[in-house]
Formats: sequence, structure tokens, C-alpha cells
Amino acid sequence: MQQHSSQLLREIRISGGFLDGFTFRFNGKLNCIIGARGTGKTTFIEFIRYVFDLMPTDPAARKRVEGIVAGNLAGGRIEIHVTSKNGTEYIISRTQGEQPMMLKGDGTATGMQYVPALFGIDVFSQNEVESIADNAASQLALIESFDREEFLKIADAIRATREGIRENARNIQPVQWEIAGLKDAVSSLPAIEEKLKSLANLAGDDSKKVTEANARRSLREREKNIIPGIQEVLKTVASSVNAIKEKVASGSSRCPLEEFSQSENRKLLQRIVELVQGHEAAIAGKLDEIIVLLREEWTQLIEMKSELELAHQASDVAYNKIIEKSNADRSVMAERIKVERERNELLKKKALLDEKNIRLRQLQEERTALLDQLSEQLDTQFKNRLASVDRINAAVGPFVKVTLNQFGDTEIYQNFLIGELKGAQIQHRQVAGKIAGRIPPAELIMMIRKGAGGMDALMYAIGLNRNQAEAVFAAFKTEEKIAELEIVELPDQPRIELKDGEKYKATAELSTGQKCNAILPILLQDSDRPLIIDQPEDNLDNAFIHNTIVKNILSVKEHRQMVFVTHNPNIPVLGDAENMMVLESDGTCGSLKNSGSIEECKNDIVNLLEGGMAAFDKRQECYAMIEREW
Amino acid sequence: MKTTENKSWQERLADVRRIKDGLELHFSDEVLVEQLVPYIADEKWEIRKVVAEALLHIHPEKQFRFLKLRGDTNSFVRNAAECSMRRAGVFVEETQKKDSLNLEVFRKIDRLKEKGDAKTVEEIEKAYRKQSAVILTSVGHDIRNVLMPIVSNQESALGLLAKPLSEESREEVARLIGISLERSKMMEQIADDIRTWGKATPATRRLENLGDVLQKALVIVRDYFRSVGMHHTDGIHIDIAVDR
Repeated sequence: MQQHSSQLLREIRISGGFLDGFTFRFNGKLNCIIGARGTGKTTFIEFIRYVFDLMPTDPAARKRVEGIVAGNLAGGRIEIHVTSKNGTEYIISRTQGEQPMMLKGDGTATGMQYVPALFGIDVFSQNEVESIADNAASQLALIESFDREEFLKIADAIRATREGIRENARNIQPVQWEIAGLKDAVSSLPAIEEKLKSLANLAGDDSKKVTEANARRSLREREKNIIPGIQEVLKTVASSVNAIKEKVASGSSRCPLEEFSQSENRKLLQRIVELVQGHEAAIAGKLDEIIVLLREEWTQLIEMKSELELAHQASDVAYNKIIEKSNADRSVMAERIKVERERNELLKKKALLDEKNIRLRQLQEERTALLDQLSEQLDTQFKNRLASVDRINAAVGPFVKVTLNQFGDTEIYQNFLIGELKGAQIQHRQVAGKIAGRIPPAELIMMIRKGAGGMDALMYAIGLNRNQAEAVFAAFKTEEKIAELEIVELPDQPRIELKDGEKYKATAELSTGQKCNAILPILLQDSDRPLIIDQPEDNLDNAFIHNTIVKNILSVKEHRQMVFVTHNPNIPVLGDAENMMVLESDGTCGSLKNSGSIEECKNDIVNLLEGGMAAFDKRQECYAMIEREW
Repeated sequence: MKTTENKSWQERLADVRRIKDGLELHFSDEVLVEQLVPYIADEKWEIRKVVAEALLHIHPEKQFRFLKLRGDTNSFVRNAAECSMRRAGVFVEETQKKDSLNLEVFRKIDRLKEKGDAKTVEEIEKAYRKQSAVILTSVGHDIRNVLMPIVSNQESALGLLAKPLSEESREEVARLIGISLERSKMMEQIADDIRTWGKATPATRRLENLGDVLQKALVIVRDYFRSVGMHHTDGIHIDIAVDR
């Protein structure tokens, strides 16, 4: 494993509650906490977890931790001094019910808000280690724990891309509806053009002259729409600018100084308001300049509109003369004017349709780019996880083997399909199962978008009948449904196996003890994150503790800080703990009975972990006897 | 010209899809199989999945180079490879039968070469190869079309039978078995039709007029032989008994 400059827990101070007045300085290597039952060892571990806001995702486990904190902190405060990877000292402080606070090492404010990603610690409550073996998400988190920052970055990027796809689908849907409506209207345009042609042919002897006059008149009709069209755009822009102006002006109202007249920060608040108001005035000035420009354009347009109307009137007079002189049928002419108006309306819609089609193409291109990006991000995430798996295997193999299957966990995808197909008169669970196992979401969408050809491909690929394939296609008619399918989660599936004799067994087939045997060696790898475990020895035999756990502790403690609550003497003694913490309790409060090196705490170790000197001597005597017999 | 290495993954995906389409038309074509090989280890799983799907159109004897895909790190690639290899195996038996039949035909053609005009025989051989490829492809296609729903229906029925049957499931099983039965009868019909190609058509089978088709084919073959100066008395006997 790679070596890092590590993060460190320096000191913990607790005020209030069961461990009131408790202070303990951690060593940078192995720290072991011992004590009889009920002395506050588990409470101590859960307090650390609570301070760093590293609460379990499982609701029941979370409730348990919150219960321990509520029952034992009793409104008090916990402060932990830490050193970050770059060597900066901080204090993370938290009171029950409040968010953690991040202060400088000297206790002064940092102005930074604490988030769990800032300081990485691996905390495992009692029995949590074996639960990792039963939970794919926890196993993935374990694989990612060796390069958490990088994985968080990728996860954030994936989340943003998925949101982009969702947003794109929301934008596409109305454009598609508009296009469908416009297409419907514009479909009558060829018939109208045809009708106009036939009406032109009925114009009489001087048909050429009349036709030309009508063509010019038609152009004039379309010209009349130009300036109102531009005016409409100007109105929209002006209204948007005014809306922005109002929004900008509302900034300073967020800080009503009169409400804070007694505040100790009044002067700072005053400066904030002055800054915001100054900027508000400047922005408003710029926005006013835009409004002035818009007004100027509006005024000039009105003048030009009059000019155009004048020209149109003169042309209309000439037109009327031509029509009066012509011997064409008056009813034909009236019909022609009516049809021309209809055509002009349709031409306007056609222009709008072209515009919408361009917009749709842009959105579709954007969607394709987003989907490609998502595919690449998911591949990067997998590749990084695979690299982490390789590192783990190199460290823990061949005793433990970890493999990773990209998109191997199809449960979410399958449940999503079940939900969408429910109600269709088909065996929806079975169909969903077949699709989820064989057709990735992107491919299913490609088939749906292809229509009939895609349906045949789906039937052939997984052996669906037509009825079932039609139901699948019907379920994904809208863009929003398709987008949901595009971003449905398909987690990678880890598999952790333990060598049992000549065979590897997956965690699901393992006993509780074997599960710990498989997981603990992975947890005990080198990392820059402090490792805290409540009773790592649970369910383990002493041979495994000696051969694997102790061996791992000794090899990583130079680079990784560890804090273990334990009842097993092998861990602190053979692991050569640098710092011991012995807890005791009077029934109402827990306190630090003793602390220091193994040598300084050896009596407590013998009494608490070996069952006292008499028991220890007796065992030694027995073992010596066995040795002699051998 | 861009090489596979400097193409974007979308371009590589389009390329590999083209190769797969080609293999669909030209089963197990060696050139296309060679073109497919570099994509086995492509970094994009979407591309490897298309390769896995293309295995359906590659003879099982040539699939050993693609075995790696069965252990791919991507579940969709792995499933596609397993499924394609399993399905392709179904057709092996048919292919073997076809091969032994071909051997017999080629033995007869060799005998014909010894007795007749070599150029003409060569042309006949060429025509035979082309025609048999077309017939076998279309027969294979027909069989697959009939067979597919039988397989999927039986899988569905088995899935339903694995649990306690509700009234709705019982009806569905009955429906699936009904469809499978109907399709099985169609398979029997296809098998009978194929068998009758080599035999005299019974008088009762009027609908297809297969007798007429064969009579006409016989006339065409005879005319062709005559046009190149060969007669069936020249040591080659061509005659097919057809019941009208």
C-alpha cells in the first residue's frame, strides 16, 4: 500500500455527561482502550464518531449511536484536537443536537464549516466489521476508503451529470410537444400553396399582372408582422431585465440592520449592507442602461413602422387600381386574399417550427454528450475501484480475494423496471428480470427510440413475446421516463472471498467469525485515515488474532493511527500498544483509571484481560505442563 | 486514416457494430473474425458487449479466442458472451449434418469431373455452393424464428411453475404451452417440408406445388446441359420422380 502523510487524532476532551472531565492524549500509533463492562468504552468510540459526524447510513444503527450520545453526553460537549494531512492543527467540537464546529488549533474561529469529507476517519462500532461482509454498499465504501477524496470527487461529478440529464429531459419535453403541435398545423401548408396556385390561374385575361400584384401584396402582409415580432422580443427582454433588477435589489433586504441593532457584530453587518447596497446601485445602473437602449430601439421602431405603413398604404392603393381594372372574378380575388393570409400565418408557424427543431437538435446533442460523459465517468469510477481492489489483493491475497463486477448489482434497475411495467398485462417481474440481466439501460433506450426495428431486436435478444415487448415500449413513452431510465443506478458489485482449504468461499457462505477473518485484514491496511474499531477481536480465534491481526497491526502502525477497544490481551501486548487507556466506573460516571505504556498499565492488563495474576499463573503452569508432555 | 488506437470510443463502437452486422450476413467469415479480435480487450465495455453478441455468428470452433469475455469484469459483457456461446452451440449439430451432406455432394461432383467437361462441372459446383448457402441461410433463419418463441415461452412457463400457481399464472402457463405447441407443430411441418425435398412429393401436398417447382428446375438443368453440349445420356443421370 502507498504511504501517506497521515491525519491524526491528538486529544479528546469531554465535558458533561457520563465521561465528564475526561481528557486523553492519543498516540500516533496503536492506542488500546480497556476496562470492565459499563465503564464507557463503547460510549467513547461513539462519541468520536458523533463529533466527526460519521453516522452509520443504516437507520437502526444511526438511532443506536444517537441514543448512546443522548444518554451519555447529557447536553455536554466533546472536543477533539486533530492534525490534518498537511500538518495543520484543528479542533472539532460538537454539542448534542448541534452541527460540528471547526476551530483552529488554538481554539479561535476558522470561518470554515465542518463537513465529514474534510477529515477522514474509519470508525467501526461493535459487530460492524462483520456486517460489511453482508452489505455490498459497505464493501464498496471499504474499497473506496483507501482513496476516499478521489472517489468523492468522481461521485460528485457523476451526480452533477445525472442532474444535467434530468434537466435536459425536462427541457426537451415541452419542445417536443410544441413541435408536434406546429407540425400538425404546418402540415396543411402544401395544400394551401396548391390552392393559391389554382386561384392564380383563375385570375382572368390579365392574370400575369394580377398575379404579380397579389404576390407583392402577400409580401406586404408578411412585412407587417416584422416590427410587431421585434417589439414582442423587446418586451420580453425588458421584462426580464426588470425582474433581475428587482432580484438584485432584494439582496440588502436580507440583512435588516434594525433587527440586529444590539448585535455584537453590528459594525460588520453594517459593512456587509454597505457593500451589497453599493453593488446593487452599480448593477441597477447597468441594467437601466440596457432599459434605455431598449426604449431607444422601441421609439425608432415605431417611427419605422409608420414609414412602412405609409409605403404599404401607397402600394395597396396601386393594388386596388389593378384589381378594379382587371376583369377577374371578384369572389376569386377575395378567396385568394383569404388564402394568402392563411398561408402567411402558416409560414410564421413554419419559421417557428424550424427554430424549435434547431433547439431540439441542440438539446439532443447536449443529451448525447451528457450520456457519453456519464458513461466515461462511470468507467473511471470502476477503473479506480479496480485499481484499489488490485492493491487490496496484493496486500491480503491469497488468504482473501476481492473481485469487482461492473454494474453487477442490477437490483435497483430491475425494481425500477418492475415499477414501470406494473399494471401492464404481462408477467412484469419476469420481463424486468430478463431485461435487467441482459440489456443495459442505454441499449434499451436505443431500441425504444428505433421503434419497430428496436422492438424486434428486444424480442430476439432476450426472448420476449410481442405483447411483452410492446408493454416495455409503452412504459417509456415520455422523455422524462426515458431520462429516469438513462440515469438509473447500476452499482458495481464487489465480491470478497475467503480461502477455506483449497476453495474460496464468498462472504455469504461464511460463518460470522470467517466474515471477520475476511474483512479485518482489509481494514488493517495502510492508509492515511485513523482506524477506530470497537472490539476487533469479536468472533475471532486467538490464532487468527496472533497470525493476522497482530501481524497487520505491527506492519501498519508506523503510518496509521489505530484506536481499539479490546478485551483481548494479544492485541495491546503483542501489538505493542504505544498508549493504553484504562477506564473504570462508579456506576454513575466513567473515568480514566490509568493510562500510558504497556509497562505502566501491565497490572490492569493482567487483571482485566487475563482474569488476574492467579488465573494468568495457572494458565502458564498448564501450558508449561503441556509443553513438557510434548 | 485513423487507426483503432486513435479513434474515439464512439467511432470504435460504430466500427465493431459494422463488423457484427457483417458476421450476421457472412457466418464466421474469417476476415471479419480477425477484425473483431482487437476489440476483445477494448477499454469500453459497450464495445466488448457488441463483440460478445457477435459470437452468435461465429462458429464455436473459432470462439476459443473470445473465451476471455465469459469472465469479463462487466456483467452485461459476461452475460452476453455466455448467452451467445450457448446459442451458437445449438447450431453446431445442424452444421455438422450439413458438412457430411456436402462431402457426399462433392464426392459426386468429383466423379462428374472425371467423366464430363471440367469447366462446366466447375460452374455447376459454383452454382451449387451459392444455392446451398442461400437455402441453408433461409432455412436456418426460418427455424430460428419459429424456435425463439418456443424457448422463451418455455422459460417463462418454467419460471411460473417454480412458484405456487395462482389462477392467473395457470392461465398464463396454459397460454404459453398453447403457443409452444402450435410452434412445435410448425417445426414438424418445416422438418417434413425439408425431408420431402429429397423425395417424391405426395399427391395430397398440392398447396406448395413443390412438384411443379422441381419439374421446372429439372427442365432448366437439362436445358443448360444441352446448351453446353452435354446430354444426360453422357454418363450422368438426372431424373427426379415427382408425384402430381
